[in-house]
Amino acid sequence: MSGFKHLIKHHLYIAVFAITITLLLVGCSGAMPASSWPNSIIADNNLIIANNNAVYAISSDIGRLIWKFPSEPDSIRSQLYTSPAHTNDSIVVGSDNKHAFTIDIINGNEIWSFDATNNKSGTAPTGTSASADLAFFTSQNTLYALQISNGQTAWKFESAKDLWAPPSTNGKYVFLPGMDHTLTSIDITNGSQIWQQKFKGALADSPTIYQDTLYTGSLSNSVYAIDAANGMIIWEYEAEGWVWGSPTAFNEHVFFSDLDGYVYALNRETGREMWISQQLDSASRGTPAYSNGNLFVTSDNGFVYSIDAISGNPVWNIEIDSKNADRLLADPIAHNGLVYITSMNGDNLVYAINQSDGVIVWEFNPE
Amino acid sequence: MWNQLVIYPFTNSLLLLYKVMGDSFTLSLIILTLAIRLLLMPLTAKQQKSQMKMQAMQPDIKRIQEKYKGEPERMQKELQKIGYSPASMLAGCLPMFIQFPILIGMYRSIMHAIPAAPLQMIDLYKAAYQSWFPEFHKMIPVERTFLWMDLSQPDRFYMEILSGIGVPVLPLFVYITTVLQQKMMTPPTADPNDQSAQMQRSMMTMMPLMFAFFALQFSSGLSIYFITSNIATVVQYMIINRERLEWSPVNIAGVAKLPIPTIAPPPTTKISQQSEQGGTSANPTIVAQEKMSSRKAKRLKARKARGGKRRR
Repeated sequence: MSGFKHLIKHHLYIAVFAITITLLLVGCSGAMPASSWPNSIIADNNLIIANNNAVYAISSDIGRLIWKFPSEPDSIRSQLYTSPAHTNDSIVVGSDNKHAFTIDIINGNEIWSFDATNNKSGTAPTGTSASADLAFFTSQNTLYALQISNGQTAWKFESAKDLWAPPSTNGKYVFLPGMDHTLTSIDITNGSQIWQQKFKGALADSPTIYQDTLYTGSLSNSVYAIDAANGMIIWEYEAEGWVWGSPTAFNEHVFFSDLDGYVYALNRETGREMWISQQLDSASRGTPAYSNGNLFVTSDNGFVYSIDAISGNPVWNIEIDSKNADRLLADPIAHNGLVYITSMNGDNLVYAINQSDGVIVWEFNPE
Repeated sequence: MWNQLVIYPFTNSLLLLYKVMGDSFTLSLIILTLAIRLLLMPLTAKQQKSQMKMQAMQPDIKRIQEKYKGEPERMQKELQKIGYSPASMLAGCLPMFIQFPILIGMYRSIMHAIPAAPLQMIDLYKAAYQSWFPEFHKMIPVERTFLWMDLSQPDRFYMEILSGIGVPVLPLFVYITTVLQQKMMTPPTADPNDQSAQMQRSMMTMMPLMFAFFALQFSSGLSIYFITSNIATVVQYMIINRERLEWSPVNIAGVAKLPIPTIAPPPTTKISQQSEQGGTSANPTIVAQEKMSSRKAKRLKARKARGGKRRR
């Protein structure tokens, strides 16, 4: 009997030891880490934010919650990290659990869902975008074009390696960036390849379409202007660090930031450098937001910067929630005099900041 | 600090090996694991020796504890005489604890080096010593698939006939190699009811289950680290104890009987009596080693007499 007691006791010791080590692995090493950051868009004057466990619609003026999807997270309706896409009356989002969903923009109810798991477990970064009739959903190395009306697959396109960003579309062609260092033009009607251009580095964000030119950064420090008709490179510019976010094109300029913390302005037609900003406190991943002659960029360590778009001089900067809110990696959004910042680790999920002086107007915390 | 001291050097070593090994992350993982084992070898060898020593002393310790039950001071003295010291025994466990930061560091480095998600890719950009990799962008994305495995995800092998059910192949291998390692490193005890034997049995049940659980939950890259590390430990143990190596069938989790190398326990009874009677050495392991050395010397002498040639 005492031997049995000893055995139980020792099993307990080792079980406690095992649990401690597991917690250490999970806690210290982020065993099940967040795979991405919250992303947001403006749709029908509301801010739609996709986050780990839910998609929220909040009013853009005062930050009031309108709806939340799903009401209770489950095993497939979670890890909703992709930037939501807006088309007609619905929002398209993807989950890293390899599912896509369309949600009614009025009430947040699910319209349909699409399963890309092929009966296999695991997670993968996904991307969503949309045209008038099709929702585009990338999961692993496949691009699915889904009918907006019913979620049925219209066509699909397979890439050599993973697709981390959704394609951009001009209504006629779909431009798909790939981690295999390629940009592919695809016919929107049937999914057939039109052209493919190879680059030095991987493309991790959607290309920006401005008139008939595509602008894309790459994980090789280079930024490219590409002819949308044939995929020819018009110009190439070498930045200091990886250019992850899509460039912002406006009038004569193209603006972008890099992971070394610099912001750049180039001549849109020639790729000639107009200015480079002072180095920010840390990496800047997102696409700069442009409004009223100013650029708004965020940094990995939690700062928001306003920069004069003509001269590149700093206007203001603020640190969001210095205690917790490092990792501002999502694209900032400028709308109606405010800049919306979504935060990964902060006390709040969203911060609405006055464009003119950098004062926080309201915050949104889903808890 | 932790990143700079452990994670980043591991991550960059993995990337460097990946480049050298022709873009094979599995090979780079195996080589780094072996290199770590090699660095830890003096410590792990000490741990293994201390374990053996403790094992050999058990009957003597038990006898002394029984004999001097009411005299703690005398018991302490007698225990010291046979070379038992709790502090040195604890020091023998130190290598085991050193391995856990390495395990955690290794896990994070794997996640850094084969980013399967955007956040990890940004962390890789921070972690990479870009001066080591002039064309770093060409290595991105790091190839993280091997056979059916995605090294950044927990391992599951899917077959069409098992529609949707993934077989955790690597976790099974982790379990089997941990059992083998445990069985081999735990010599049979004279008294199965004694406390250390019970502790050993607990360890032998729980440790393989614990590591298999880790392998089920965490990336398969970590499983490759476990498997390589277990095999390296077994080989190291076989080399250290080659004199007393025996192959005997051992039951693996009640499923299969496999012949595995086990280490015969050192002779203790006679030696214990000898030490009590004031023999040359109080420590049975040392006596056993002395005995072994004298046997070796005799063999060498005989070989010398035959002109240095082995008899066929």
